[in-house]
Amino acid sequence: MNKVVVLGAGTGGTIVTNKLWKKLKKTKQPFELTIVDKTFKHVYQPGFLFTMFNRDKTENIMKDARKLVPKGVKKVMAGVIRIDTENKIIYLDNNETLEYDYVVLATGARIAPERVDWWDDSIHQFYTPEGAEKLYNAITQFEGGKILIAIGDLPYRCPPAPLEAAFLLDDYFRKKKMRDKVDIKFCSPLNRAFSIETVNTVVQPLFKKKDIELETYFNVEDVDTEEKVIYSLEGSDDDYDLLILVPPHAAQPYIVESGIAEGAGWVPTDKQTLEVKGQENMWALGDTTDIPTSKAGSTAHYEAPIIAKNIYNKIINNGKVDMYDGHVQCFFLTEFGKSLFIDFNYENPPKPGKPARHWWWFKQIFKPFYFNLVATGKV
Amino acid sequence: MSYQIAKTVDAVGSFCPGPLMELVRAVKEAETGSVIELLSSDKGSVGEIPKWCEKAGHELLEVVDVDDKVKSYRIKVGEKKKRRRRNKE
Ligand SMILES: Cc1cc2nc3c(=O)[nH]c(=O)nc-3n(C[C@H](O)[C@H](O)[C@H](O)COP(=O)(O)OP(=O)(O)OC[C@H]3O[C@@H](n4cnc5c(N)ncnc54)[C@H](O)[C@@H]3O)c2cc1C
Repeated sequence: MNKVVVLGAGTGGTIVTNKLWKKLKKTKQPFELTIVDKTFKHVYQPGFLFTMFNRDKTENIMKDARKLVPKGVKKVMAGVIRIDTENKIIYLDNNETLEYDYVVLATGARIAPERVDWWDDSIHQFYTPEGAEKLYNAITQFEGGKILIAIGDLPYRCPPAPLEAAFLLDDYFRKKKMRDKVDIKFCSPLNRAFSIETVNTVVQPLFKKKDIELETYFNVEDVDTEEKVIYSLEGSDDDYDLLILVPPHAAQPYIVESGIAEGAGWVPTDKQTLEVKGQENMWALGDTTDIPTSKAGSTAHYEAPIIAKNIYNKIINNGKVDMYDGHVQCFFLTEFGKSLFIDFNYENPPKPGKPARHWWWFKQIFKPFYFNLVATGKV
Repeated sequence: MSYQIAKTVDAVGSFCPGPLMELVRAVKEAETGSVIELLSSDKGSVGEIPKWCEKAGHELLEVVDVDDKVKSYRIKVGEKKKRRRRNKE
């Protein structure tokens, strides 16, 4: 009996489980497919950019992940605390264990403010459901002053998100007819607003047009929340009235605990085969990997079929290895009503075009499309 | 030049977040004085990496061609800037 276990039922975990189910049936060999998640609350995280403006509700961007995978898949609600990689045993926080022949790590990224000594609750973030809701309250009560947006630490989920937040804040205060009372400043860790040059040539002029101040080479080093001052690694500092930071991120603690990775726990993953380096019969996808690409749902979406195929290849022993080509697609919102569309892989940088209304509408219909077709592995 | 590479960051084919972000991230985690190797195929890195190193106080030891496309940037991590808070020192 081939025992295949998927850890995590977020974007990567549910898609890979659905793809695996179809593939494993094709092996004509007996198998058991198990998915493990500590809550089975599957969150459509792009929705945070809407809940932070009360344009969507937290309960509407969540689904029970058990409903997104086939009935025949065994569902285990528990947190993974350690993997004994030598004996292929997973230890769970309900005192149970699971044995595996093949395992997929899809437990994503968590916010990890404890990785810095300056984080406190007065700093806003929109990377959790609660954070986005709290930020909405702060924005609605904001009477004027300076909003500063910066990247608290690297790496983080969805590289465009903090820039999208700046654009949407600009639009929000314009619509509220108080943009003249609000200064918006974006601090970029790089020499330009956005990391991808071809996209930056479209985005950076928009900062100017929308009167969003840009400071470059600003990697956050410290924040004094009493004095309301932020300091950069490069030696500059700045005042603010409302601070919105991308919080520090890390992978889940069990990864370090199991000796799979060190430090923040990003899983050392082959960027093409998606195998975990130094481990046997272990693959990883989505935010938990150390692959030098976007931590995006779209990345996980295109990685999932490769892992399903590679586990299939191993089981039927056909000697084949499928390769991930680095494909990622995403929207980049530039206002309420307009978006860019970005599509790239390891070989080809994106050619973003101009912000357009139709991409905004695509993004609007994407949520039901995501829950019905993407997470369920149909597309 | 003699030095030992403490960590290699393979950012070949990385467009988003891109080689420089990968480097910044590695430097933040690295010890002062250690050497990081960044592999990049991005043409933008040629100008951007030296500029950031200078701005952030790290030393670009050398740039070595790996093949037609890929370059290896060797960076010695400089003293991390001392934290200073206004009015408090
Ligand atoms: C504000 C914001 C906007 C975004 N916008 C976009 C976008 O426009 N496009 C895009 O492609 N991506 C976007 N993303 C990124 C996208 O949401 C993530 O990249 C994606 O969810 C990653 O999927 P994953 O499966 O790796 O992790 P997740 O979806 O986070 O799933 C991880 C799962 O693992 C479970 N888990 C964690 N630890 C354990 C444990 N120890 N034991 C058991 N289970 C565990 C969790 O409960 C969770 O269900 C955005 C993210 C944010 C925050």
